[in-house]
Amino acid sequence: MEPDRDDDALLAAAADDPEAFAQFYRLHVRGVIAYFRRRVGNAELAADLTAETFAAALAGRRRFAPERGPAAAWLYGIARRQLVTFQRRGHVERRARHRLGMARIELTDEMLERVEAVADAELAQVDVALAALPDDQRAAVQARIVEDHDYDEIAAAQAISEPAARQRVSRGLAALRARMRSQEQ
Amino acid sequence: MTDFIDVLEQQLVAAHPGHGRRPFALPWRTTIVFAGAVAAAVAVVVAVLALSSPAPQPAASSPPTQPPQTTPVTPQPRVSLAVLNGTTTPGLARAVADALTSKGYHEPDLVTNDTTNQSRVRTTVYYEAGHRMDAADVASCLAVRPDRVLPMGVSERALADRAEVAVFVGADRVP
Repeated sequence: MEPDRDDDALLAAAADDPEAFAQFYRLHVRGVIAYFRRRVGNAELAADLTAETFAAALAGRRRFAPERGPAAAWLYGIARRQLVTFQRRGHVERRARHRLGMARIELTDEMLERVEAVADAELAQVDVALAALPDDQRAAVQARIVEDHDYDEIAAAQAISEPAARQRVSRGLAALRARMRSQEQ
Repeated sequence: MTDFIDVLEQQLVAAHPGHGRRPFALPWRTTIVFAGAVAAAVAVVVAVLALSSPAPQPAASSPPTQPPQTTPVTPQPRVSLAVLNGTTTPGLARAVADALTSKGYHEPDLVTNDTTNQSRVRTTVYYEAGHRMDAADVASCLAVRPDRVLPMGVSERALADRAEVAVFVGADRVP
């Protein structure tokens, strides 16, 4: 399966095009919510971290370099840094949102329930789709996205070259997304 | 439906530096609204010409829901409205409220001054989650640009007394 070049192209186009960024956002927001929901166990914090992650992605969109890895891995790298900062300081950063003039979203009970539902559905889909990946791709995606290992570490662990590790992550993410889309249909 | 995902998307798009730079590269939902507005305006022009009656105003600039004067206005969906004057020019909020009621909206629940900011430059329509399209319709009626339709922030919500759609009138509406 080919890497998900559409995803990379969207993020590249998002440098100047708000609608491209919106599409990239819609493609990933549920996954990012689920990522945080699984790790902080709280829908409100997960939503707050998600908002800061995408604000940071918007602010830093021109720093995305496709040759260094797929767009999804870049985004989850930002998410991972937000999580580490939150765990270290005990509060969610607001720097990117402040820089962009984004107001804090006041979450009603209804909105929180929706965030919970999105996270639960996404996590169930991810687990099923991840389990269906070939072993090498699953290991590469988990190492990069879940454990935040660098590509050279993934390459060493899997006894492959670094470009091959990047390709394995990219193909794994594309396959994961394709499987999740097919689950939605 | 109230949805964090939609509200965040609106904020991100509004915060994108390219937002509003290219007025014709609009999100598809906004495009549909304005395509409908253009079609409705054309229909009004055709109707006026067919009746050969002089239009009181240039028909081509009429908002989509404004019918000829001889026909009743189209009722608009019930949405709680607030209009606040963000300038020092008296009467602007009242004028906007009247413009809305003349186009089928009910009398706004709140028509007052924005006591926190009397130097607003551009008229902006804010909306609570789930009322984005209502706000787009209001903006369309007032000829407010789509990039001035934004999610309600904390300060706007407090000033608008929990209205679902709030128009903060700026100096761009000073006659």
